[in-house]
Amino acid sequence: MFLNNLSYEIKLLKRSHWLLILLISTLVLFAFATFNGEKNVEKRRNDISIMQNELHKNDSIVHSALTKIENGEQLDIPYSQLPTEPMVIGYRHPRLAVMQPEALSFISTGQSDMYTHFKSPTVYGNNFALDYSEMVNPVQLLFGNFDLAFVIIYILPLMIIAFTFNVLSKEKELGTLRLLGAQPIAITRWLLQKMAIRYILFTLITLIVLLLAIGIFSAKAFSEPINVIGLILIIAAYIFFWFVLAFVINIKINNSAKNALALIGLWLLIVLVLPATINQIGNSIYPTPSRLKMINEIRLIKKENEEKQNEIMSEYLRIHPELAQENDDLKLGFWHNYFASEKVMEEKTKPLLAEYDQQLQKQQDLISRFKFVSPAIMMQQALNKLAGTSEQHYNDYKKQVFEFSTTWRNYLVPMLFKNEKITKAKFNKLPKFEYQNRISSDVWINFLGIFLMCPIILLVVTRKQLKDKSAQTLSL
Amino acid sequence: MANTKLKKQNYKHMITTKNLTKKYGDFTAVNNLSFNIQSGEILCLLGANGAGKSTTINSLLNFIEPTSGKVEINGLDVVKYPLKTKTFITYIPENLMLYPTLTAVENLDYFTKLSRKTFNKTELKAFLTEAGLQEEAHDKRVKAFSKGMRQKVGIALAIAKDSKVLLLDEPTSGLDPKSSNEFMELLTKMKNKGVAILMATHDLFRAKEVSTHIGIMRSGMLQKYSKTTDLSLKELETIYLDIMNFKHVN
Repeated sequence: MFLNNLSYEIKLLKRSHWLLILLISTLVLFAFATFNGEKNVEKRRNDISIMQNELHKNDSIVHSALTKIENGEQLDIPYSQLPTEPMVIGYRHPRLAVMQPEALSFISTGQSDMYTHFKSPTVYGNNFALDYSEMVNPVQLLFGNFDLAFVIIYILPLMIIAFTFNVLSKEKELGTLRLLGAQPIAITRWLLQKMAIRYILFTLITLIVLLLAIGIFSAKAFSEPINVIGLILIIAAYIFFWFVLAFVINIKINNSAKNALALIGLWLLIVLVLPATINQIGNSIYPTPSRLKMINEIRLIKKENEEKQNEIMSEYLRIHPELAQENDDLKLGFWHNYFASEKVMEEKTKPLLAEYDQQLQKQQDLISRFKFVSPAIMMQQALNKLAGTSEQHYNDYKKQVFEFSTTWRNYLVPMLFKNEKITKAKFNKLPKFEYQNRISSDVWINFLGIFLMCPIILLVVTRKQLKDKSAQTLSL
Repeated sequence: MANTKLKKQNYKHMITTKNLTKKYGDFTAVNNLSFNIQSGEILCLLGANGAGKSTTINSLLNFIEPTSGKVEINGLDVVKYPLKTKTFITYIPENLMLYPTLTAVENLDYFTKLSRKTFNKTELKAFLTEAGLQEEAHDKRVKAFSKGMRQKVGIALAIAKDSKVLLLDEPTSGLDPKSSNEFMELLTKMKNKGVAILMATHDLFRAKEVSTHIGIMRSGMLQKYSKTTDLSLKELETIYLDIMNFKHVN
C-alpha cells in the first residue's frame, strides 16, 4: 500500500501544483533568510575588522614611537601619552577583545543584535564588565530579524499547517473518504502513510533548499559538518513534530475549517504564547535587577574609598609586599592609589555583581527548565547554540573579557609599582585576547526533546484511533 | 414481516443481517432487522428518507457499529473482521466521488491497488470498457465526468476486484433515464455473474425491474419482504404507499 500511496500522492500533489508552490516558497524564504542572516554576520565582521584595523594603526604608531625612544630620539609627546609608561599603554592602547562570529552564526541572530562583539578592557574603569548592550532599533526588536531561525520556527509550521490541515477532511468533503473506507484498508494507517509521505517530501524539499541556500550565500558553514548535521536533524525533528500535530488534528476533528483553526491556535500557543509566558514568569519570579541601581551603589563605594585613600594604600602594600620592596623611593601617584582602591572596590562590588549575574542566571535557568513545554523554545535554543549567539555565549564572552582584563592589569600594574618602562620587546609581548567558544553546540537534548514528544502525543491522543481497523472512530 | 429468513441451502448467504439494531441515543435508526442475500440475488430496500436503508449499508461497511445484532459478509462477522469482509465488497454511494485530477484509469488503478490487486493498463481499460465507459474517457481526468460515468468507474472497480457483494446507496438518483437504464443493465450483468447486491433506493419502478427481492422499510423496521416475482408493480405500489401512509391515487 505504501508504494501505491507514494506514487499517487506525488501525482496528486504535482497536479495540484503543491510541490511547485512548496519549492518556490521555501526557495524564496530560505534564500532571503540566509542572505539576510549572512548580511548581519558580514556587518558584524566588518565592525570588528574596522576596530582591528584601527588597533593595528594605533599599534604601529606606538611601535614607531618606542623605536624612536629606544634610539635615543626626543619625542614631542606629553607624559600622559608617553608609550613607555605602562599606564599609558594600559589605558590608551588597550587590546581588542573580539568575539568573532561562528561559521553558522547566520542561522540565528539570537542575542547578537543586543550585545557587542568587541570590547577594549583598559586598566581604568569597569565598563567592560557592565555594559555590553548595543543600541538597537526598537522596531527591529519588536518584529525580530528575518533570519533562518525565524523562518524555521515561525513560518515553517504555518507552511506545514497549510500543507496538511485537510489531508483527511478534504477526502471527506470531496466524497472520496466513504469509497476509501469501503476498501480493505485501515483508514488511520492509510492516513499515517499519506502523512509520512508528505513529511518525507516536505522535509526533503526543505532541507535540500536550505543546503542550497547555505551553499550559495554562506558556504563557510560546511566547514563545521557536525553542526550542519545537527541543524538538519533538529529541523527534521521540528517538522516531524508539526506533522504529528496535524495528523492528530486531522483524526480528531476531521473538518477542514475547524482543523485549520485548531492548528493555527496550537501554532499561536506553541510559538508565541508559551515562550512569552515562560519569559514573563521568569521575569516575575526573578525580576531583572536594575543596572542603574548597581552603578549607583558602585559609585557610593568609590566615594567611600576616596575618603579612606591612605588607609587603603597602606593595606594594599601590606598585602602586596612584592610591589613595595624594591622601590623605597616610590612616589605614589594617581594610578597607584587607583589600583589600591580598585582592589578594595573589587572586593566590595563582587557581591553586587554576583547578585546581578545570579538573578539573570536564575531567570535563564527557569526558562531552560521549562523549555520542554514548547518545541519552539527548544528549537530557538538549539539554533542559537549552533549559531553561537545564545545568551550563554554572550555571558561566557563577558566572562572571558573579564578574565582578560585581569590578565591585562596583572601584566601592567606590577610594572607601574616597580617603575618599569614599556619597551618594544615588552610591547610585542602584551597579552592578547583570544575568544574561545566554550559553550557546547550539542543539540542532542533539544533534538530528543522535540522528537520524543511526537510518539507521546500520538499514543496519548490517538491511541484509540490507531487501533481502529474499521473507520468507526472517524465520522465518514 | 420483520424476521423473514430465507434459507436456500444450495446458495451461500453473502449478505446477512441478524436482528440488527442501531440506536442513536433515544432514536432507533434500525430496529431488529434480519435478512439474507445470496449470490446472484438483488435485494432492493425501499423506503422514505430516514427509514434506515443507509444505516443498514453503513453497518455492513462497518462505518458504524451495531447497537445489537450481527451483520455478516460471506459468513464473516463485519465487526470482527472489518478488513477481510471489505475484500468482498464494492460500495457505490449515491454520489460516487473519485479523485478529480486523476484519470479514470488512474482512479481505478489506485483503488484496486488499495484492495491489493494489481492490473496493467490494458486490463484496467478492459474493466472500464466492460463497465460501459467509453474508451475516449479512459485517460481523461474525472473532474469532467458525469455522475453516470463515475458510477461506471465504480462498477469497473467491482469487476476488477471480483467483488462478491455490491452495496448501492441510491445509485440511480439524479441519473438521466439513459444512464439509469445502462446502470440497471450493468447490475443485471453483475447479478448473473453471481454477485449479491443490496440496493437502497426510492425508485419503485427500477426496483421492480432489476431486483430479485424487495424489502420495504419504515422507521428502521422491515415492514414487507417479498420475492419481486410475487408482486405486480401495481401491488407493490399499493403496498409501498400503504406502508408509507400515503394516499393511493388511481
